[in-house]
Formats: sequence, C-alpha cells, structure tokens
Amino acid sequence: MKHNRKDHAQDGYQIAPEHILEVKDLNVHINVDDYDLHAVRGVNFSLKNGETLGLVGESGCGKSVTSKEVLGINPSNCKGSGQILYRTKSGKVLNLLELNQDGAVYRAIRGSEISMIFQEPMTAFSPLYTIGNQLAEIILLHDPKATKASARERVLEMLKKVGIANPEKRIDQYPHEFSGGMLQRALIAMMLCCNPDILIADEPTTALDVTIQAQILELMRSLQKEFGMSILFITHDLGTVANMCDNVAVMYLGEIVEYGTVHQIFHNPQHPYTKGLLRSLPKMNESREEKLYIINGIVPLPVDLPPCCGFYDRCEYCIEGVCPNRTIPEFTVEPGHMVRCMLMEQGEKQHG
Amino acid sequence: MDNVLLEIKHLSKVYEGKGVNVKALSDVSLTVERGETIGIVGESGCGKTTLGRCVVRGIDATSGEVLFHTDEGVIDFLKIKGAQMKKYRKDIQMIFQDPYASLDPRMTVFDIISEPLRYNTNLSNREIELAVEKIAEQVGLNKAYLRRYPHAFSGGQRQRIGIARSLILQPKLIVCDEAVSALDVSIQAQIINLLEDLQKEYNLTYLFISHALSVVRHISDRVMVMYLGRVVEFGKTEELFAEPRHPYTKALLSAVPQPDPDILVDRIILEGEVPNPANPPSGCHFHPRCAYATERCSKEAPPLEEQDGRLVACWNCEACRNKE
Repeated sequence: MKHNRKDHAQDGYQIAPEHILEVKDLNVHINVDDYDLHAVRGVNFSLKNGETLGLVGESGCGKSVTSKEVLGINPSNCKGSGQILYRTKSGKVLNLLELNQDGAVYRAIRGSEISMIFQEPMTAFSPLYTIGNQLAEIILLHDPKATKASARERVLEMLKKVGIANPEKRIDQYPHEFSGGMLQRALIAMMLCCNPDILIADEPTTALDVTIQAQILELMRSLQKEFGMSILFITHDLGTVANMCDNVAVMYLGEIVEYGTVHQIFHNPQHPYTKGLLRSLPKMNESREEKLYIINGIVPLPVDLPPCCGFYDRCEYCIEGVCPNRTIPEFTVEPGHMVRCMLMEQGEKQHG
Repeated sequence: MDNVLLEIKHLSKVYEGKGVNVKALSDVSLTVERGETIGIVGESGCGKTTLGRCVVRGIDATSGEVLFHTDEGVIDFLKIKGAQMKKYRKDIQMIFQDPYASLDPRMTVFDIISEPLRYNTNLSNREIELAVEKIAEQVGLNKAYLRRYPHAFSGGQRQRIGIARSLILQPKLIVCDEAVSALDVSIQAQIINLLEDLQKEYNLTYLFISHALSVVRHISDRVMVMYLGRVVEFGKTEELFAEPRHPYTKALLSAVPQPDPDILVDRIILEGEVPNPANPPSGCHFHPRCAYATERCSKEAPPLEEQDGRLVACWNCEACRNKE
C-alpha cells in the first residue's frame, strides 16, 4: 500500500538537465469492486522547463489518472508503479512514487511546486470560505515566513494579475458571487500564489463558454511567459491543443499511442487513432457537404487486457494475428515523433 | 402546400422571480422549412435552450406564436389543447443534452423507446415490438440489448436510445438541445452522421441548439446567433461563417480554437462576460463588450434588419465592415 510508504526517498536519480519531470514506464492499476482496471499502461514522457505538453484523449484513456499520479492525489485503490522523477526547487531529483502521499515531503511539493487547476471551477472551491481566505491558505501553508497580512497582499496581487477587476472587493466575496470564468481566474490565481514549476491543467476551459475560454487561454499563455512554468495540459479538445501546446501525447486506453511536436501530430499524424480523431472533427474551413469520418465502435474497458494494441478492434488497418496478440513497441518516425503502431514496421507509412 | 413547416412569431419568455423578472427570450421570429436544419448558437444565458423548450411546449412562452403547418392547415401549437394537442404534439420531439440524465434508470431500453407508442397509438404488443426493433436497428442499437437498463450503455449508445425514442412517433420536427455536446470526439462524429442520415431518410427538420460552432457549421443550413435573449444575426451557414457581420458573431467565431497549429486567427478577445440576464444593459445588449459601440448603441436597441439576405441587429454594421 502506497499510504504506508515512508519518506525515505532516495536521491541519486538522474534526469536530463533540461527536464523537470520524467515519467518512466508508469502503470496504474485501479482496484474497482472485484476487478482490476489497468488504467495507465506503461506511459513514458518528459516535461522540459517552460514547455507545454498536451495529454489528449477521450474519456477513459487514462489522461487524468496519469496527471493525478504525478500529483499523488489518486484515491487509495489506485496503485502506481514505475518512476516519476521530479527535480525539486532545491535541485534534488526525487521519485515521487516512492514518497508517502500524505508525508511532509510530498505535501511540501504539492501545491507549491506542482500545482493543478481543475475542470469545474464551480466545485473546486469550498462554498463556505471567501475566495481570499482560500487563496491565502495556500500561502500560509507553504511559506513559513508569511503572515496573514503579507498573504493578503500577495493574494491581491495575484487576483490583479489574473485580470479580476476590483480585487479589493472580490477578495472578500464567496465563490457563489463569482461567474464561472471569474472562478477559473481565481483558481489560476490560487495556483500562482506559490509560483509552481509545474502546472497541471485538467480540462481548464471545457466548462466555459468559447469567448471566456479564449480569455482564459490567453491568460495562461501570458502567465507562462512571465513565470516560466511548465504546463501539462490535459484535454480532449484538439482545437485547444493546437493553440496551446508545444508537444502532444495522444493517449488511448492507457497508452501513449503517438507523441510528437504539435506540428508533427497535426500535420503528419501516423497512428490510425490520431488520424481518425483529426478526421472526425468538423472543421471550420472545410466543405460542409462531406460526411464526417467515423471511428467505429467504442473505447473498451481496460480489464484483463492481454498484451495487444488497445485500438485493434476499432482500427481499419488492424493486422490479424499481430496487433491483437502482442505488445506494440515504439517506432520513431523522425526525431521527436514516436508512434506505437505495427504499421510502421510494415513500412506502410503512406496508408490513409 | 408550401414548404414551410414552422413559423415562430415574436416569441418571448419572461421568468418571473421574487422582485426580478428575467427576460430570457425577447421577440424571436423564425420561419423553418421542411427538411432543413436551423442551428441556434450562443453562450450560456443567451436563451437558446429556452427557445427550444418553448417550441416543444416544455415551458410555456409568455407571448408569441408557434405556427405549425399541418396537412389540415396552420395551427398555433402554443394554443392547442386536449385531443388536438395529443394529435400534433407527437410531430415535435426533442433530443436532450445529457444522455445520463434523460433516460429513466428504472426502465428497460425497450420500455423507454416504446413508451411514446403505448401512449399515443393503439398498436398491438407485437406491432410495437416490431416498430421498436426497426428503429433500434436504424439508430445502430443491438436488438439483443433492448431488455437491458440504461446503466449498461455508454454515453454514445445512450444518445442513440434518446434518438430512437424521439423518432419512434415519426415526428416532423426534432429539437436537438446540445445533442452531441456531452460526447467524445469519435462518438460525436458517429451521432452527427446518424442525425444526417435519418434526416435524409425521413425528411426531418431539426432545430439544432448548440454552443459548438464547428458542429453547427457542419450540420446546419441556416444559423441563428443569439445574445442575451435576442437574435443578433441570422443567415445561411456558409455566408454567416465566411463573413460574419455582427461584432458579436465575429468575436464568437474568432474565439473557436482551430485544430491546426498553423491557422493563426486574428482572435478578437472580448472584454468582460455575458451580463446577468436579470439586469441586461440598456440599448443593444452587447454594447458594453463591443469595440464598435457608439452613443446610440447604449440608448436604443437595434432592430433586426435585412441586408442582402442576412438578418443583422446592429447600428454600426456597415461601419464595422468598413473598418477592417
């Protein structure tokens, strides 16, 4: 059990100097009732300083479980294995999976060095405390030198920074007095209070209207420039990804099936799933007469999965006797562009 | 018989609360032809859902008419009662947004789909069974699963159940309220194509209410843009998307993130948020967020006027086109 782990995390791990986070062979099993859900299956990725990495996929692909594992906030029936190597502000490299989720070391990192903003700003705040109270709490928790007065100063400064008008009045208001877009701004201000190195944004604009979404994305971009943090951007919206991310990891059934720069993924997609996703989107600049491309079937439940490509039963290029029967290795298309698909081996790059 | 199916005339809806009246819909008019799809777009609080609900009489409109062109002449759907109501109500059906909340968890799928038939027709059990099986097959549901309960189905499958239920009475008009918004991308495409196929086969007319502009562009013949209960622009889909005229439509279209990193849209970022509909701004509701607003905009509401085939409600429309 993860909860019994002691805080004797070992130093001595190595990660590339430009990286702040490296996730290696991450597997997460979720124990639900009597069966075992293999939610994340051997995920590898790294996050550079100041990079925005998009984790894209549909419901149940494991994108949220992966990000929550990094933050150590998955419920106790989730069991992670592998390595999540993180370079702390003090320069030490820790394997987060070795830390006690409730221990002092993890608590010092969570919220202060790695922060998260959630999809539903309406439920992320407690309705019982004022916005200012909830933001100041973070500062008082993580900064031993902070006083109530200095925390309030900082909260005011952050509220101003995220574009909340009239912060002196807003700081003493309760969440129900804020609109959805304003709450998301307040949540971003909360995350900024401790100046984190990594921001995990889990569908931060999905619940918002388009014009408000445009405001929030613009805000995140400008804050990233100012504070230089790395962002792990989780979403199912490919439009947002194209506008926000440097690199993209496409997930399907717990695996990263394709990884590359935003240009490689959108202009030269190789995996049939990535291609299908992009083709099935109605686009603003295409003829309306054409029918939408369809990926048949639905995402299966990752229970008792044999070694196989997770996408084989929906894939029109499935190779009988191969894709359903073996673990699919990673193939490199060009530097920085990785695909997990047997078609790459067959040299059938020009299909579709 | 002309090709008009539905005429909405000066439809308004005021929600009355303690001391506050929210004018959710003010003076909306629309003529819908048989077999076409009208997209209705706008952000939260713009009245698009209220419009859909008023048309199906899910809620009662405060004033206005919904004229329904039937084989026996034109009737005002909002005024009919009793037997006549029962007769014509089945011609207008609805598909809901949330496939998890809109199906009764204690009814089997067969019961859900067949309920409208049992209530509205005198078909025998055998005939009902055949009808349900036929429609299930058409919407892509496996006949073998009809005796199961909704919880055993995924979101996309549930939406197919909702579509089967709305189709079983062979309606003429279907109001789709955010029918694909809760679905994943790959499933969304399946349902959009299904709706299009069914439309061709049964000559259905859709009122397609959605905030997803790319979906609306794909499926609609004409599009109506709403802001705070009023229509701000209405026109043919291609024209409206290629050359939006109302400043709000422009901002709305430019805010949609495109799934291509190379498309650099000149994004118009609107200041502020949609005002509270209980206390809307004077004059043109959009003027506090509008870059082209003039003195007149804050005093008088602009009428919805025709400019070569397009309806636009803006005092400065020519001006905003020339400024570019």
